[in-house]
Amino acid sequence: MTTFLQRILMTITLLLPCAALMAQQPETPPATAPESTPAPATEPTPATPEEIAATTPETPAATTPEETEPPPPSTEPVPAVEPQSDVAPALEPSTEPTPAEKPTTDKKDAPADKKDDSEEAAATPEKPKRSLFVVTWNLAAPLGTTRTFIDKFSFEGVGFEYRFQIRPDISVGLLFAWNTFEQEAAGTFNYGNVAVSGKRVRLFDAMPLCASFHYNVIREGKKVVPFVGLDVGTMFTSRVADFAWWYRKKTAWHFSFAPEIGLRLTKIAVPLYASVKFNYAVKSGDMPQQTILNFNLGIAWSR
Amino acid sequence: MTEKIKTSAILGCFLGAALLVGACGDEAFSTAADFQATVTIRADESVYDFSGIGTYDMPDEVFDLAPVGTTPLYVEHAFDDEILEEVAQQMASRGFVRIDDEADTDGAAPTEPDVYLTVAMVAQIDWTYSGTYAFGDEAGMYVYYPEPSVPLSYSSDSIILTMVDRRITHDGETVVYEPVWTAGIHAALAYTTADTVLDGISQAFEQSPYLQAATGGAR
Repeated sequence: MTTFLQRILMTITLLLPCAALMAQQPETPPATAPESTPAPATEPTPATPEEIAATTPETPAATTPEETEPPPPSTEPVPAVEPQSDVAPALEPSTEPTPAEKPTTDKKDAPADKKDDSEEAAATPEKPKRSLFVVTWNLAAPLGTTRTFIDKFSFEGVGFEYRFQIRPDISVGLLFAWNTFEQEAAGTFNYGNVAVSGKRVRLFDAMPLCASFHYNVIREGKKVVPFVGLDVGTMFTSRVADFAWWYRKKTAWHFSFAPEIGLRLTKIAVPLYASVKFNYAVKSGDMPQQTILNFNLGIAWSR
Repeated sequence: MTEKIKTSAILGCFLGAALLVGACGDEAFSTAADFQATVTIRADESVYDFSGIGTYDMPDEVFDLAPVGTTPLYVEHAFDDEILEEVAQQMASRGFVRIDDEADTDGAAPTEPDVYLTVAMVAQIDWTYSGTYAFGDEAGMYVYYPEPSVPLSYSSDSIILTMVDRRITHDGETVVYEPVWTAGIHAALAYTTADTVLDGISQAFEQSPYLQAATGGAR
């Protein structure tokens, strides 16, 4: 029999390559891009030849014909103003930094280079990240009539959600989640005209499939993005009383909704997601209403 | 490098979660004791009154339970005597009187019992509680097990006690009885000694408190 654990592991195994692919998507242009393109517009260089001369009085390169021509201010390379670059400029025009020059500037300008990279990225027209993928580990506490059937906290749950931003602060999406509850007992149990004694395992599965609506209290782009949301849709539930050689199963589809509150930590290596969600599924046939409180922990990618 | 760290961290989270979930899970049924279960099914209260039972008859044999016309699987009958004795003791302790409807009581007409009680062992790979089965030889008894409200299946070696009321039969060429009470002791012989079977039989009567003989013995 395929257990929930096996199903979870299989699902996660299938998701791993996707997660790795998504994680490997570079958020900034490749590192080789600056080398293959002219000097970036954001280089912190003097704006005029006069300023260049003033800052590099002993540098012969500053007086080369190429340098004295008024170049586009934004394309002036940094090495031209570096004192250590006194050899290289003699070999090559100062507008093109040589490999020999670069190491001499690395130590001193390392922070500046890093800043430059990010500024380059900012200058590059970036695709707006409007999609959000969420994978969560769902813990769950049964409440109400769900608790009368099974009153054990569930550590076995998983959730997948896709959200699309229709505004910087509002998103709509689709989610599928799965929580399973399991509780063991021993004794004699009566089911109408049938009485069973022995070890009994009760299983309860809840699988919401819902449309989701979320409002970001703080807009995207901040380190912490708190949000509130509401899921509306269906929930499939399954109740099983399982003995070694006998079982009783009941299933139902419910209309369900689930208000949610949570936050996302976006500016860290692994963007984290945490939320609390109250699931309510209305009565369906002879299956009573179901209430579950979820504590979701996971990761969320913006793309 | 940052991307590699990020990727590693994400993968680590996934694997960590998987291991955590894995640590929480275990097999619900793994030991022999987990598989020991006793199931009893009774006729509905609105249909049958158990207080009308006073006498019973029981063959001195543990039958093989297999579909009519098939060869039963070989099952071990090592504890038949103990099983039959335990059932007789349990019935007696509840006030039921065992009589033999074929006994010759000095030329008088044999007394017919209120119910027949048979003991059988499942002699097929799995027995689903449903359909018609025969007990004994050509002169034996046919029992029709109606589809239960819940699915029931028994593995081979399970012990099945079947109580039928001789006054409740199905129409047809062959007299077919319908059980008013059945008890299944699951796969008791597959794992251990006679004690497990005897405990299961005792449990079957214990969880059936309505099996108590009426003083008058009339229905």
